[in-house]
Amino acid sequence: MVNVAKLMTSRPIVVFCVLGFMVFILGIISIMIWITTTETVTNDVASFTEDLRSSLVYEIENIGKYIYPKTNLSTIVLSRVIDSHLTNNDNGFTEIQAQIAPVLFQAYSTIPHVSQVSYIDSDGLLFSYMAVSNISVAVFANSSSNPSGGEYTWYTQTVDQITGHLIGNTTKSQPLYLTLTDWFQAAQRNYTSAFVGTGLGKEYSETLFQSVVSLSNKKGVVSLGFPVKVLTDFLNSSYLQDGELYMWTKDGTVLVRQGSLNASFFISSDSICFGKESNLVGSQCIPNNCSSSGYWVEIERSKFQVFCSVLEVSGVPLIYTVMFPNKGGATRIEHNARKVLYLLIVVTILLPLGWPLVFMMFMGQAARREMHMRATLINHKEAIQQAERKSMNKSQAIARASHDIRGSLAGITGLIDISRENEDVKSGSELDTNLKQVIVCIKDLVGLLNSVLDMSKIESGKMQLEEEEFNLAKLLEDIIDFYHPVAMKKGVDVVLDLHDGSIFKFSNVKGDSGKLKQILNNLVSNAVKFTVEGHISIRAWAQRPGSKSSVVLVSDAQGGVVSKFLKSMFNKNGDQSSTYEMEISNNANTIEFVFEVDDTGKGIPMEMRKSVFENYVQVRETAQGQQGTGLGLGIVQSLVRLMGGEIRITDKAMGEKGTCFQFNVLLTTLENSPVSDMKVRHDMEAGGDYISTPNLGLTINTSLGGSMNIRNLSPRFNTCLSSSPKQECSRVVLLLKNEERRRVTEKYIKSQGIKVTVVEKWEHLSNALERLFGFSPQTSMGRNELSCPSSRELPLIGIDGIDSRSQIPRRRSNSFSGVILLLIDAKVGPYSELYDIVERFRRGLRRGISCKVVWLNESSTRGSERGDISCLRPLHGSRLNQVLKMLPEFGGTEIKEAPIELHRESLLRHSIVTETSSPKHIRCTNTEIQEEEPSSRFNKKIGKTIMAPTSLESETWVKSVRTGRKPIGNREDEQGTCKPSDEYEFLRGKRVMVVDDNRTMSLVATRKLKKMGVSEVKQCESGEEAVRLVSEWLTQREEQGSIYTLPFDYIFMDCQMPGMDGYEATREIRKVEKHYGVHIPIIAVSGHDPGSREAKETIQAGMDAFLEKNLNQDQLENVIREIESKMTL
Amino acid sequence: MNAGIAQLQMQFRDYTISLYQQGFLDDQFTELKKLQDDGSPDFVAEVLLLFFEDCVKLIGNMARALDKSTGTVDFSQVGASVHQLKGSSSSVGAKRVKGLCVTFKEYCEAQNYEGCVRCLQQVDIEYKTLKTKLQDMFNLEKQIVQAGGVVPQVDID
Repeated sequence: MVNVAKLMTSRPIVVFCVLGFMVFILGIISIMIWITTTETVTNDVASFTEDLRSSLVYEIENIGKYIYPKTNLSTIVLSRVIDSHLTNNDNGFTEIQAQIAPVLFQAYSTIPHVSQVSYIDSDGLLFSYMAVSNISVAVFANSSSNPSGGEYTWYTQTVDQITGHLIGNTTKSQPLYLTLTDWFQAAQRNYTSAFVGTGLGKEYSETLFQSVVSLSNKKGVVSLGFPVKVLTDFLNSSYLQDGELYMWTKDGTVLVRQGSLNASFFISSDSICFGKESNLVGSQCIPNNCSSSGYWVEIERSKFQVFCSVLEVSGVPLIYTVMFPNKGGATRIEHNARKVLYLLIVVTILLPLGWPLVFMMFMGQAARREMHMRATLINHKEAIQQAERKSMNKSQAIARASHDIRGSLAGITGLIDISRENEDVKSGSELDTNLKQVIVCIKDLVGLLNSVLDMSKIESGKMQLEEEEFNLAKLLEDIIDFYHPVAMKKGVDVVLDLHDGSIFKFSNVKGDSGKLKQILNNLVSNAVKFTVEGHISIRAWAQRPGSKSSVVLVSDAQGGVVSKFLKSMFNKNGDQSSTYEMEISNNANTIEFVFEVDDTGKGIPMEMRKSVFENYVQVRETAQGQQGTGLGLGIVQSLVRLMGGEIRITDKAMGEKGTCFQFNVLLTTLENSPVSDMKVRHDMEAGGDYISTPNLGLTINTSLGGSMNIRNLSPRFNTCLSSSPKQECSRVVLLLKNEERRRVTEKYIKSQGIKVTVVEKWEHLSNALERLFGFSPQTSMGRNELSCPSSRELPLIGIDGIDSRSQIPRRRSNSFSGVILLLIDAKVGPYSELYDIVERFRRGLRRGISCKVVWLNESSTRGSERGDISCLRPLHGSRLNQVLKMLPEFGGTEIKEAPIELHRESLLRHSIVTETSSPKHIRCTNTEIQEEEPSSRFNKKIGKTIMAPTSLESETWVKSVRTGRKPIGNREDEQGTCKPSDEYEFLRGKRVMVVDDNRTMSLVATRKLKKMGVSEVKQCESGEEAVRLVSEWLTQREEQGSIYTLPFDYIFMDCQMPGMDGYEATREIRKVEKHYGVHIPIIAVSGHDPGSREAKETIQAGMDAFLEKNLNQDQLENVIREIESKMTL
Repeated sequence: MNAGIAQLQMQFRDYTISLYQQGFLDDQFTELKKLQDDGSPDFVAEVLLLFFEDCVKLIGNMARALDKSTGTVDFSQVGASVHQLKGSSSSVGAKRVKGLCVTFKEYCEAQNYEGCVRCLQQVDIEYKTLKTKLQDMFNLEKQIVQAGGVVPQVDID
């Protein structure tokens, strides 16, 4: 349709011609058919009419033939009879009357149809019977009246119908001279004759066919008369189908004329003529010899078919002509057919002209409509594009504006800082608090702006992921640790639920930690904001992309590697989940991490769930009294999508309060292979251990990760799992306030294979403890000893290098069986009473059973004297692992020594995890620890810090390790690290190099850095010198065998210098240090603006960061922190 | 005696403020002053000394480079010197010198000889002015110290 329309618009004439031609052809065909059919029909009809006409003619002939048959014969017979009666030659009238009249009457009454019987004597005597208007009369000529022959008087007298006697009156009439007539003489001559003529009855008579026979003696004639009227009536009454019939005698007497051409009809010399009688030329004559088979003649401009023949009726020859007008039958059909043909031709000519015109008109209309629609579509598209452009511009404008506002805000903050530093403002004064308030407000404002900026960044597609390596488990813990105190203030617990611990298995991942943190922060802060009571649980687990389950049930009881192998063989094509573990460790580098943030807050109404992810949308009912732009979840969604995942609100079970956000992200894991035997033995790094407990056929992922690694399960642990329930191993008693935390913790500990007893209320603690451990602990201990013979094989703790230390716990563990670990939330009841209960219980224990108490949310050091541990931060993740590690199943030691041992171990681990293992370092660490070890102060410190070994602490320890090996005797610095570090001296103890050709600047910079706590500043005047210094240091270090220490913690590099400039120098240094596998942070210092081309060049040259020349302290801090975070990862 | 010190302190304060207000100095100088403490009581003086030495040296360099009698004018040499001077001046907070250096640099990049020469002269005048002003200030300081007073912190709004 469209094509036709297109063609139409492009070549209308061609289309027109084609269409016209087609219609024309059709017309021609129909005309041809029409002609042929009409022809045959006409022919048929013509032959039919022909037949019909000839049969009509035949019919007429028949009528003529049979209407008066054998009249001649009757006359002859009658004449014979009369002959016989006439004996005398001379007969008088009387004789005739006596002798002949009866015979005549007999004949009159017997011969059918006869209307006149007469005897005419050659003398003129006459006797005749005739029917005159149904009355028989006799006409006779009496000789008496004229005896001399001459004139006879004719009399007419009625006759008796039966007898034939004359009755009634006679009337006289003028005689006719019959003997002189042609027919009389012809009869005398020829014996017989016939003619058509009027009867003898004078005025009464009608026209008759008269047959005349003379008597043998020629004395007279006998004649019989038959009425002509019978024949004419018959012929007139017959239907001639529009035909015209003319019949006449030879002498021109017209007998029948039936037709429309009456007026102009006349007979001329035996032929029929039409026209004026006087004018023979103008009239049309039909020759009388025309055959019976049609003859065409045109009379008065109309054609006639003429049939003519001679018909003999009772001896009288009659000529007749039948004419059929040519109007009817085939001619009419032909006429009509021709008319229709003309019509057809006209239509055939007109249609090709008209129809395509109409068609084209319609098509044109359709094409116009389509064009119109297209135009509208294009307009719409343009409008959409314009709208999009506008929106983009708007976003960009917002981004620019936000950026500027942020700049101004930074200015304000700086000014306020300056004001506060001013001595006029006394700390604590009203002005100071107000200023502080202002700063808080500004921070809020900046946060707000950042979210707007993020939004516009995402919208304009400029947001990109920054890939870096980080520890996912630690990140999660950090986030929760951050929000825990805030939430606890409201009485809401924040629980980390690591499910199967699969996060630990893949905790070292590569991805954008900042954005992931942003997502989680947003969700968790929302949860905290909107939850008034209950708990917030954050669940996380890893799974293969697309997979659903992470725990594999193996139904086979055979177990072990063989079974696994068989499984993988059999299930190659079938069940995917069975081979999941194999696959995930073998080929998958991309792991899907699923997070759930589940709160018990107000929840989000069903109908709002879709729109909360749209920007600027807040759930009004719940957001009352809460701040925010409503951008948070929109950003979160964009970020999640950026990381290849999806966020949604999952449905909670009926009756459960709150909202559950679930999202997944794809991250690249760095755990490239399943944990090898080597790894297990060395117990070096974070990572999952694959433990198979064959008897149960249950595969558990006890992946214990983070920097705090729990040992591989010992064989004894396996025995414990598989042995009868009576046998006692370690037991954990949980007394936690929050139900969710209780559940999660219980589940987690159970998944590690440790028995857990949950006490719901603090009042039940005492009872529960008695029930559990009150009965003869001795017995259970003994049994334990027997049932766990393999406990001797408990593997080493820590690193192989520290033999002396790890020997002790190993030996002791031989004589040790059960350990009771009490995890008590101090908020669950009055602390003192709880403490008493625990004390009583502890006293009641037999020797050999150790009891370990972990107090949560309790800062008092009361318990720590007994080796108890107090933990202020939420117990989950790595901290929980740390606590569990004290159990013998995980290589823990006897409780009494636990704090010290634990601490030492953790220290070792820190140093080893953060720096790569090097014997020399460990030695350094060891010595340092030994120096500090003998002190109660140490114990106290551990009480507070050991249970919260966050990244901060570990960093601090690493720092202390570093400072410890420094040759310069600044022990004060070292001590300082143990204190909360002074925030203005955050560069304390660092060694830096300042490269600047400008002495003034280098002097100022040195001064500034020293103010920030830098211990040593090496000034350098040129790039060459800097490179030389670095390479010298490195070679020197290599000789000493410790290339891992950096010559300088940071290098501040001026960019523009005569000779070798900053970029060049940096490149050189990078080249040099590459050989040694170290990386010295180099910070560019330049007079250019940050964000300028030069600033970008510095990063390209290999520098780590960029600073403005005046060395703003805040900026410097930020930069250093950034570098630090990069280094530690 | 006390009144004398107070007067001196007042004078010092006013003088310092005037220096800021006239645009000789900026925040960087304040920063510099903050860096001076008991450990290095003459820090500011040292830095300034270095700065003025630099000025003499650099201006000499530039004058030589801009000297037409030696033949071609080496604008790149001038540019490098200006950049250094700009860096130095900004690190001591010599605002006017710094501002001049910026203009100077632009002329230099445009290779405008006339502009360069004019700027060089202005810079020469400017740094000398600054030097005298600062000397005055230090003299005042000294007087205060000698009189047994404390050099006051000057707030610049």
